[in-house]
Amino acid sequence: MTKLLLTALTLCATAPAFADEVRAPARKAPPMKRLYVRAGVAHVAPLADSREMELADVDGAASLAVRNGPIAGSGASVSSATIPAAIIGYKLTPRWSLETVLGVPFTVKFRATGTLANESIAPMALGIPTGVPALGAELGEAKAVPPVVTATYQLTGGGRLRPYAGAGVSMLFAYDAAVTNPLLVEVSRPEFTVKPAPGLALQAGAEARLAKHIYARLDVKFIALMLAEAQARHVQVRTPELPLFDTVEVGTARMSVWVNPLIVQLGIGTDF
Amino acid sequence: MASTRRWYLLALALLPACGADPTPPLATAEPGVVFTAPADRQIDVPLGTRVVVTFSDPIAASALGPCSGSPEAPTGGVCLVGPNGVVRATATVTPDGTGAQLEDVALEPGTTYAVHVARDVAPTAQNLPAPGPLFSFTTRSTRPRAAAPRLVAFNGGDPAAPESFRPMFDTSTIRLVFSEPLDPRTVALAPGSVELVDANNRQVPATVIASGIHVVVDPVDDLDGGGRYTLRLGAGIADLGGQALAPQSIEVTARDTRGVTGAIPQVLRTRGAGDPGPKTSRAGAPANVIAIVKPLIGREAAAMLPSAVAASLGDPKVLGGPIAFTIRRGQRLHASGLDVKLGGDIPVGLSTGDIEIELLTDGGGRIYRNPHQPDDQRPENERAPLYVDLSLDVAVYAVDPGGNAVLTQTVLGLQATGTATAADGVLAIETVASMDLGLLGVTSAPSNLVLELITDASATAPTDTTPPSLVATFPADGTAELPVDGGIELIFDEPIDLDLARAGGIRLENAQGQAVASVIESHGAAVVVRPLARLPYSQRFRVLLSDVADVAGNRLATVTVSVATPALASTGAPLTVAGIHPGVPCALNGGRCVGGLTSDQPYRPFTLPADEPIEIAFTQPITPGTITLGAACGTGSVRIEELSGAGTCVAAVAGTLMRRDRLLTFVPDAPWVEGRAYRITLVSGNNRSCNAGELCGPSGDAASFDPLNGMTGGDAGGPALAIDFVGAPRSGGTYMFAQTAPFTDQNGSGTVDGVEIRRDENRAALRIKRTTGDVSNARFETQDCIPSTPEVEACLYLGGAMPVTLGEVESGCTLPGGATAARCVPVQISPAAMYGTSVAMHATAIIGIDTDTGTAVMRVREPAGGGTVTGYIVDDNGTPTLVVALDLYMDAPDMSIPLSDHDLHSKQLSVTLKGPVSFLPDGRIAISVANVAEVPVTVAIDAPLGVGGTVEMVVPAGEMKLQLLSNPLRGVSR
Repeated sequence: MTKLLLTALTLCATAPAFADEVRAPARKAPPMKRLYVRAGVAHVAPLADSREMELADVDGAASLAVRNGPIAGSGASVSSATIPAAIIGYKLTPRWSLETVLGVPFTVKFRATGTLANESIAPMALGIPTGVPALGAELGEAKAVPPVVTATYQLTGGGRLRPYAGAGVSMLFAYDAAVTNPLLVEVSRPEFTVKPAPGLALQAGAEARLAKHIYARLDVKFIALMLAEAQARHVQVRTPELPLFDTVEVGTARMSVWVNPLIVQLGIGTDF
Repeated sequence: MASTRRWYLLALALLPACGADPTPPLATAEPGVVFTAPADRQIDVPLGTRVVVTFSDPIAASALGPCSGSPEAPTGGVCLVGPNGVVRATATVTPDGTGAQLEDVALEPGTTYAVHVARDVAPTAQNLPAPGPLFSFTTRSTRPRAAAPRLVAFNGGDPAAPESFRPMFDTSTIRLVFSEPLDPRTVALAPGSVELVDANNRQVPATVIASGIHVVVDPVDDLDGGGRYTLRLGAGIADLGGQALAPQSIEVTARDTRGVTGAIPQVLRTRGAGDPGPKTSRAGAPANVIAIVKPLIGREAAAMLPSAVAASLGDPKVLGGPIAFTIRRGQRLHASGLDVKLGGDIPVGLSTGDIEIELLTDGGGRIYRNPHQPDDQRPENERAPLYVDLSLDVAVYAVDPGGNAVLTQTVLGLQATGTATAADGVLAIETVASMDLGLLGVTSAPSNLVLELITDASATAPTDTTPPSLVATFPADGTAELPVDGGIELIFDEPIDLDLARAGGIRLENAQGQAVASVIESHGAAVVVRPLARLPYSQRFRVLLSDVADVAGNRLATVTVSVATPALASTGAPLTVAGIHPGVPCALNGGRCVGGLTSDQPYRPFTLPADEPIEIAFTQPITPGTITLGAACGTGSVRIEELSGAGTCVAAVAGTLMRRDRLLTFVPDAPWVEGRAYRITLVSGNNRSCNAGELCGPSGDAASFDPLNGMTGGDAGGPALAIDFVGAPRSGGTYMFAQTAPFTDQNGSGTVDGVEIRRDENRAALRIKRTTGDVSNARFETQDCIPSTPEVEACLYLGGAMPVTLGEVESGCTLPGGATAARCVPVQISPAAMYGTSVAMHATAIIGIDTDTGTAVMRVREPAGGGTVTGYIVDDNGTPTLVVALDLYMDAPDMSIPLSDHDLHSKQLSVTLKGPVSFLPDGRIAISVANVAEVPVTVAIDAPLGVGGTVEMVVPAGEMKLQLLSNPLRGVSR
C-alpha cells in the first residue's frame, strides 16, 4: 500500500510534465523530443547530523534510571545507499525541464552515535546497576523513497556536453520501519515510525551526447533541510542486573536526524 | 467461489504477520487483586487491624453487604471466616474505589481468619481463587496461659521452618513471637536465656529486647552472608506465671544480601503533597496518618511529619529477584501530637507534643514480586505493583515531657506490608501497618498506620547531636515509694543505647554500694531497671547513670537517682484483702459481709466482663510460699473454679496467677463465658495458725477475710473469702484497678506506726463538733490533722483499692446533686472498701473514756438494684473532674469502750466526692477527689445504767481525700 502511495506521489509530481506533453502538439512547432529518460545508478549519501535522542513517556521502573528529555551526547545517523534509478524529464522549452527521479526503494539504516552507541542509557536505577548495556551502532531501518522534483535549466544551448543546474523539492517517505537493535528487540518489537521528511533540492550536472539520441548524464543533487523524525514507542529492555523487574518499558525514544542527502547519479538514456 | 475464499483465508492468515509485532511483549499482568493487608499467612496481627483488599480496577460497590452464610460460601462480598463461622461485618469501598476494607471488626485473639472475596466484587479479576479464601491471617494473642510458654514464630514463620514466612538475611533482626507474655526478667542475651552463636559456637553480640510476647535479637554487626547460625532459647525464659520454656534451638543460614555490589545507600523520606510518586493509593486510607480508635479517647489521628531515614539496598541479583533493604536503628520518623480527650470530647490536659518514632533495632525487609500475580507476568504499577515487607521495632515517645511519660513505649514486631511503585523517578513505598499502642497506661488502642516513603537522593537523613536527658523517674528521686516487686522507671526524652546501659552504664546499687542484680528493659524513651529478685522493705537504693548515651553516641552527664522501698514495721495484724475485682473484700454470708449487721443491704450477684482479669489487692505482703493456685476443685489457697448450676465446683479454671508482693492477678486461658458461674476462693483456715493451703501474711499468721469481726492479731483465720460471679459480655469500657497511693499504713496494722510516713493524699479528717447526752469533753488524742484550723482534727489514713471502669462518652449526664453536664464519661466503681487507721479519742461519760477506734472499715454500698456505683468525669472549666456520690457503711470493729457499747457498726454515711483527673510526671493517672460537703459522723455511746450520749463529728468539706492511681505504666513483674 505504501509502495503504491509513493508511486502515485511520484507520478503526481511528474503530472505537469505530461500535461505539457499533451498540450505541446497544439503549437505546431517542429517537434521537439520533450520526454527523456536517463537510467543508471544513484548513490544516496546522507550528510547526516542529529539532535540528541530524546526520551518521552518515561514512567514506571524506567523513571528510576532515565528521565524524559534528551540523552546527553547521544546521536543518530542514517546510512548511505546505492540504488538503480532513473531520471525522467520533460522539456518545457529547449532549456527548461521538469524532471524527477524514479528509483527502487532503498533501505535506510538508523545508527546510534555518541553516548547512545557507547554507553548504557540507563546504567543505574536508585544507585543499583541495571545491567542495561550500551546499544551499539545499530538502531533500526526503514525502506525509503525520496522522490525529488526539480526544474532544471540547461546552461548552454547545445553541443555534446550540456551542463545544467536546477532546484526543486523532495520528500523522504519511509515505510516498513523497524527497530533492529538486538537489545531493543530482545523483549519485544517496539513500534518504529518515521515521519515523511520534506526537503529542498539543489541540482547540478552535465549531460554528454554519446551518439545520436544517446546521452550520458552525471547528476548531483543535494537535498537540504530534510529532517527525518523517527520514534520508537514501547521500547522494552531487559535489566539483567535487576532480576526483580526482568524487563522495563522505557517509553518512547525520539530521534531527529538532519538527513540532507547528497545524491550522485550516473545514467544513460535517450529522448522521446 | 471456493478459490476466492482460499485467498481470503490466506490473507487473513498473513494479516497478523503484517500488522502485529512478531515478538509480543512479556505478559502484562491481568486485572485482579494487587494488594492485601494483612499479608497472606501473616501471624501476630493486632486485633484492631484493618483488612484491606485492593484490585487493579474499580470494584462493584453493590456487591458488598453484610456478611452471612456458611463458612464455605459466605455472602457479602468481602468477608472474614473464623472458627465460629462468618464474622458479622460489612466491608466498605476504599476511597479510590478499587478496594474493599473491613474496619473496627471485633476480631478474637489468637484466631486464624480466612478472607473470602466474591467474584462479583471484581468481575474482571483473573486471580481470585475459585472457590476458597483469598488469603488468611492469624491475630495476636497476648493472654497469659497456664501452659508453659512456647515459641510460635521465628521471623513470622513456623520455628520448625524458620524461613517459611520471611527470609533470614545477613542484615536481619531476628523477631520471635511466643505463645504468651514472658517475664522480662528472664529474657537476656545470656546462656540459659537467649543466645545467638555462629557455626564455630562463638557468641554473636546482639541487642535483645523483650516486651510481652515479643523478643527481638538484633546482632550488633551484620551476620556473615551464607553463615550458619544457631539461636538458642533456654529454660531460663519463663512466663508471667513462672513456667519455664522448654529449651530449643533454631538453626538458620543468613542469606547474603550484599553480593558483589555491597550495600547501596538510599534516603527515604515521607511523601508529602506535591511530591512525585504514584497518583493512586493501595492502602485504602490516607497516607502518612496514624489513626487511633479507642472509646477511651475516641478517634484520634496523628499525621506523619516530614522525616527522612537512611536506608541501604542489597545486591538485587544475589537473592535472585527480591531486593533486601535495611533501615538502621536510631533513625526517626516524626508525627504530629495528640491532644488527648476522654471519649474524644473531654480534655484531660494532656498534649503529647510531636510524636517521635525511633527504630530500636535494624528494621528492614524486602521488595519482591507481587504474590498475587503469576511469575511470568512482569511487574508494573497498575496490575502488579511490587510488594514490600517491612518489619520494625520502634520506640514511640513524645516531645512534651508529660505526654512522653504517658505515651513512651516500645512496640516490637511491627509488621508493615505494602507496595512499591516506581513513578516519576522515585520509588514510592506505601505500607500498611497495625499496632497496639499503650494508652494512658490502662489500655491499648488499635492504631493503623499508612506509611508512604519515597526515595530521594537529594534528601539527607538528620544526625542526632543532642544528648538524652532524664525528665522523670518512678519513684521520684528522694522518695520511698519503690515497690519491692517493681522496677525503677527512668524516663528520658529520647531512647538510649540499651547495650551501653546494660554494660554498666546504668547500675542499681543498695545502700552499701553493691550492685543489685537487675535487667534493663526498653520502654520507648524510658527504661526500667528491674531487680531480678524482690527487694527488701525499708531499704535505700540508688540508680547510678554513669554511662548513658543515645544510639548516636551523645552522652548524658552522670546522674544519680535515690529511692527507697517503703518502711514496713512489724505487726500482728493479719493479712486481709484491700480490694478485689470482682466482688467485695470480705467473706460473705447471705450476700452480706461476715461480721456486719443483718440489716446490711446484701450485695447482688457479681459479674465479670469476659476480658477482665481477677485482681486481688492485700493490705500486707503475702507470704509467697503460701500462694498456691488450685489445679482441681477444692485445692490450693487461691481457687478459681467453674461452678455448676447447683453452685458446686465443676473444675478449676485454667489460667495464670501472677503473684506480686501485695497483688494477685488471675487471667484465665479463655475469656469468661457469658452466663457461666465461677467462684473465687481465698483460704485463710479456721484458726490463726498458718497451715498448708492457706494464705498467710508476714506475721506468720493466716489471713483474715472477715474484717468486720476485727483486724487485730487474734482475728487471723476465719471464713474463706468466696466470691461467686457470672461471666458477662465485654464491657467496652476501660478497666483500671486503681489503688490509693501513696498511702500511710504500709503494714496494714490499722495504726500509724513509727516508721510510716503520714500521707496527706489519702486521709479523712474528723472534727468533733459537739457531744450530747452524758457524753462530754470529747477530744482526739492524736496529732492534729489540719494544723491550720483552730480545732484538733484526727486523721484516718486511708488505704484500699477501687476497681473502676471508664465508659464511653455520653451526652446529657445527670450528676450527683442534680446538676447536669452536656458531656461526660461514666465511671463504674465497684463496691470496694477503704480502710482507715485508728484514731485515739478521749471523752467523758460519767467517767473518762479513752479509746482507739481501731481500723475503720468503710464499705461502698451498691446502688439500689445492685451493681457498680456510677461516677462521671466531666469537663470542669478545662479540667477533667470526677464527681461521684458514695453511700458507705462505716465500721470500727476493734473499737472498744470500757463498759459501753457504740454504734459504729454499718453506720451509713453519704459522701459526694469531686476532684480532678490528672497525670503524674511518671505518667500514671491520678484521680484526686475530696468531699464537696461536710460529712456528719455521729457515734452513739451507750453505757450501763442508762448513761449514754453521742459524739457528733464531721469530716469538713474537702477533708476526705482520696487519690487513686493507676499502676506504673511500664509494667510490673511477678
